[in-house]
Amino acid sequence: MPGWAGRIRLEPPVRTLNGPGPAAVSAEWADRLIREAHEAHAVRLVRVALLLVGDRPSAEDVVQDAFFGLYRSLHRLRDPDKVLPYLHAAVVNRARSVLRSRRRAALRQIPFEPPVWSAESAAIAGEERREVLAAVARLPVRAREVLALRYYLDLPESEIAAILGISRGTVSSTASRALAALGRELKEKP
Amino acid sequence: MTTPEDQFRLEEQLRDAYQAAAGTVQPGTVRGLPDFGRLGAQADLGAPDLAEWTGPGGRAGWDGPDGRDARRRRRLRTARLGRRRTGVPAAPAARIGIPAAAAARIGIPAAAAAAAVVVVVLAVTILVPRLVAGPTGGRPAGPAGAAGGPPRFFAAVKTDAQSTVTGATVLDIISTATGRVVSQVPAPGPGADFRVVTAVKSDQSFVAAAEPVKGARGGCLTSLYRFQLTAQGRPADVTLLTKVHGVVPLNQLAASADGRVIAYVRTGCGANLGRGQLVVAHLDGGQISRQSWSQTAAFVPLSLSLSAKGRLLSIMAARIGTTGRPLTGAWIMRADARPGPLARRVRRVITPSISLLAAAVSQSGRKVVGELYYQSDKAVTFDLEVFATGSGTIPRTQTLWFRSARLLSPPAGTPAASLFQDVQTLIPATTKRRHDFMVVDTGSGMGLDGSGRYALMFNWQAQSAFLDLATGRLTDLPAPASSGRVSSAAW
Repeated sequence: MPGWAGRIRLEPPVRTLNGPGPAAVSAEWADRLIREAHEAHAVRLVRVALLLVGDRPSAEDVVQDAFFGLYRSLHRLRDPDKVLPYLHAAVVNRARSVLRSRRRAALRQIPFEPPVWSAESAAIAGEERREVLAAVARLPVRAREVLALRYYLDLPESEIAAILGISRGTVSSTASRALAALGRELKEKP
Repeated sequence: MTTPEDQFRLEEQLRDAYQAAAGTVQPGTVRGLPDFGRLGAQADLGAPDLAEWTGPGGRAGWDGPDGRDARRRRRLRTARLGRRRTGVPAAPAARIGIPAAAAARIGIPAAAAAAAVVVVVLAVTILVPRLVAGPTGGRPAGPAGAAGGPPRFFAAVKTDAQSTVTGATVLDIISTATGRVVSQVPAPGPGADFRVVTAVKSDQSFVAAAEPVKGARGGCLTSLYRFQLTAQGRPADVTLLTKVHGVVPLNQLAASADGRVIAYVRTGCGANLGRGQLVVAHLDGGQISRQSWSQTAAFVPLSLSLSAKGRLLSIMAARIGTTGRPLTGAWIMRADARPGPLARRVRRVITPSISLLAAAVSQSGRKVVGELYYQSDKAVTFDLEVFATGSGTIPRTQTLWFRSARLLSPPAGTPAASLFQDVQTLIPATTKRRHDFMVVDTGSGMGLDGSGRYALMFNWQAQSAFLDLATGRLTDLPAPASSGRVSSAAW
């Protein structure tokens, strides 16, 4: 008896990332689609996740989870063009879960070593960059998400709104407030 | 007031900082994907386990055969930013002010142990299926529940209602559909009872530990049996696997999915508890090879679980903190680790705390799932989380399930055991939504079926239910499973 992966069917006929695909796909096809998507987008997604969660292992966890989620949702994802937006949204959501979990861990006094942008980190060259990232890290989660999607991925407001599930106006105002707060933070820095 | 120039400069600063941070992730260095097909389709049996245990740079895991554990751990610790590699819980027994004998038997004070028993297995097994089974809780091939529903039968050890004085137990086979006892596994001999049972998940068979009843002759000897269920739920092929000198405590018996590896803790008997030993037995046809590790008062196992192939062992254990308060954490050990002190062969995955109630390794060995609780002045929340076995102590982010319960009285300074009693008391009085509080409401234990989709829940009041992990639906069995207190159950 096949497992759930063996029962995956994409209906109606869909295209693979590289073109038309069969009407009903096998688990192998799904696997290939995922791997193509991973090859194409994983690095960029890990980078976004890194900007959101601050450490590489968590970022890779987030991305791996996002791809696993994609794999599990393939039967619902009828438009292959939606793969990347799906992954963006999944990464943002899972990164949010990381931060939430980290807050709970802090309540339990489980220490967390500083992320890549901490003052102790040698991963980011330049004190000014670290200060900017540290200031960003102090912003509310939603603001950080908007900034990362807008200023790293250069996504249009409409796409950011779709990923975050908010209106364009909220994206715009959130970005504006976040930049203002960031500016204040950096000015106050001695 | 920010001028447009200021804003432009700030945006450029931000872009530059983002690019610099993102530049630390180079193409070719990103972790690949697991074989989703294998994780899902072949389910619990085909997933790799030890192969996943590699550190940065593809180096071997934490407990290599060359014995350079400490140096390797140090390298790993410095190799990864933002994560803490684990230390080894090796507090000397002398610092822990508890009697070794008592600790070897239960590890923690009786009240805390009771609380642990109530919840120990419950949520753990809720989590594993979500890790490997996919969103619809798909079922792999296998006799257990292969027809699309939960397994037709489960095995339960319960106190014999007729023999409550002697503490004799019986091993019942109970129908999931009716909750009625359909058969009973015959006692392995006069004066011996089954005390602990665990399921072999690849087929509907079980491993059970039988001990002499109180006052019976036979000495301090536990026998491990394996038996299979027929289509009618009758035990068949009851086979003696091995005999163990000592007692196998509750929850401290585990079997791999293929049934070839069995792990158990054995302790002494009566007043001569002594220090326990963790034993991993490899069954190869008629041959049994055993490997054991000695237990110390500072590290007392409370429950065991094995990955699908039996190569990784997760140990939820109690450590006594410097204040004398028992802390529970989860550790991982390779089943082929070198003999020696158990505490020196394990690697911590979940930091010891008062919050951890249960833990188990996923079938693939990639993750340890833990049930934790958080308490505030007004509420206690039970939370199921996933921890990556390969990445140390920082809790992983995937929260699979949680339930909250409101507390009537502030729990400040309340020991965990009292807290659970409070919650248990509270539930019937304050809500009819039993579903929400199933962890504390329904059980002293839980067992997963082979597919990982259905969790059997049972409690001391002999009420049984099963939970569909894909839908979250809890189904009460139509009739009480049996009289007597269920102390161990599996399917």
